[in-house]
Amino acid sequence: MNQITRLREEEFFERLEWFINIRWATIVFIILAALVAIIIFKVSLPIIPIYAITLIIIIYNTGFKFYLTQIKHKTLPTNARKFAITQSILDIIILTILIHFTGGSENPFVFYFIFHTILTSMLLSKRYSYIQAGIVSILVVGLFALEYLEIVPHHSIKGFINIALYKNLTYLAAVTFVFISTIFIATFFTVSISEQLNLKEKELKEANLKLLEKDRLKDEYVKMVSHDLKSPLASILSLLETVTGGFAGSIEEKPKELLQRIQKKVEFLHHYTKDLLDLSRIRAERSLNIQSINIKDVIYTAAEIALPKIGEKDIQLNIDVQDNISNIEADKELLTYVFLNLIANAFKYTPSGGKILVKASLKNELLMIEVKDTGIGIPSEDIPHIFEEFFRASNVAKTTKGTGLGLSLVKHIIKRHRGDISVESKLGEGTTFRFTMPRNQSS
Amino acid sequence: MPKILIIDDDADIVEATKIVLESKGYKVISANEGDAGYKKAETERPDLIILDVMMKTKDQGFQVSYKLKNHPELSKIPILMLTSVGRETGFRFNKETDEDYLPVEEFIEKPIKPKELVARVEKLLKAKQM
Repeated sequence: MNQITRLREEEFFERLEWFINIRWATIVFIILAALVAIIIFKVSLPIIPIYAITLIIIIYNTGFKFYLTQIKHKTLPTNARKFAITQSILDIIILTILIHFTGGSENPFVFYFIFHTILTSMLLSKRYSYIQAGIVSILVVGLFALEYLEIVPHHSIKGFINIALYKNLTYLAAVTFVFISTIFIATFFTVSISEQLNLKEKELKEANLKLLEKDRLKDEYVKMVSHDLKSPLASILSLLETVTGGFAGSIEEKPKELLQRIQKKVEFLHHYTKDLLDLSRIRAERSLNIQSINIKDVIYTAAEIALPKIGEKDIQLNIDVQDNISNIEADKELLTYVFLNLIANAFKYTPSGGKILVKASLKNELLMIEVKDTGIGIPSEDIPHIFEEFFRASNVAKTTKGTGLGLSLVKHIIKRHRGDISVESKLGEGTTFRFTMPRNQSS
Repeated sequence: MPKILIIDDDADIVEATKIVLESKGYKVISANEGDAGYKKAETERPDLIILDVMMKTKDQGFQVSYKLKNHPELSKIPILMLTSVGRETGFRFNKETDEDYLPVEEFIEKPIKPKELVARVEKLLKAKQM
């Protein structure tokens, strides 16, 4: 596309459309200007040729509009370029004819060609912009010459200029000089500015691509490292459990206690790498795997995994899914992860004897979820930061182990489902996480 | 006593699993890679197979499980799949709703929790007898 235009395909079509709209405005302008000149300024203008030309513009602009909608998504860029050049040439010819009928060299509106030059120079390549400036100059000056030589008749604007300026060589030389220089200088400025803008845009795009690639590499790296860390940690834990469980022979109390302490630390490390791995993996994932899922199944699956070991804690878990929610559209793995995190958090920060409620309802095609616990709560000053990566609330940072990644991932996943999450909490009374997302992801 | 085949490329996991299961009286054999594991299943005809997912390739375990389940006789052997829960393998818990449900009987998460392992193994062997 660099040959004739400097713009991206998408922008190019946008500009073409813009062109057509400007032409509509021009049509209105011609009609009004002619009326004002005739009625208010009593200038005698050949109304029939003017409106005939206007009609021709209306017809070809309608044609262009139709053609543009036809080619918009299927044409090759070369065809679109030809289309742009056709429009530009046709405009130049028709405007020259209009100038001819409205006084030729005596019509000051001839300088309005500058707008056409600027607009098309923004759309087309440097080379074509200059060629076009040349075509405009030749046609307009040619018209002046032909009228001067009386090869074509001159239509004077009586009531505006009553002397035959078109026969005045000094005047013609001055107008020609100013006209040609105006057109070429305008082309030069427009081309240089849009070239600079394009260069800047290209640079920005490249920088952005580089950043995206760097971010992806970082995620890839974190993923690799955490995976390589996680596997041996899982092996260590498997062996430790075997030893502390007495499966490899009986073990004395003191070494057992020490090994269990090691186990606790390794468990935390394992958990941490698992969270890091999830984070980088989900962030690196470019598209969601949207499918129709049963929200009830997802919640139950997550609750089953999150449930504390029997005898560890005595907490009542209630799951209340409104009957009218059949299936919803979401990435099943990711949504399971969301529930798993929220429910596991609720269990983690709710003391024995507490209650957890998971509620799902549907309102105006919006899925509304609530995960409510009667746990320790989040200090109010920590609430604004609770979804930030690696952030942990001040009341749990020292007492319980955690990575501060879970909730940030939860938010990330919900956002990617075009949803939103909020939290309400009172210290010592409990916390409620609420999130919403559209039931249909495609609509 | 029932014979259990462990297919995993991690010697420590194999060792830990072996110790736990042998302490319960099972006879345990092992293979450190999928293809070798499949051959061993053919010759040894174990009562249960514990199969790791990521070995030579990211999903060798899945491929082995498909191969086993398409074998006229070996398909009857229950498979306990070793996974790291989460996105590596994805959640495929529901036989009815998941199209790509894996043809295995049970999953167990790494790291191995001895009690859980024993409970799953007992459950699978019991189900097989019935």
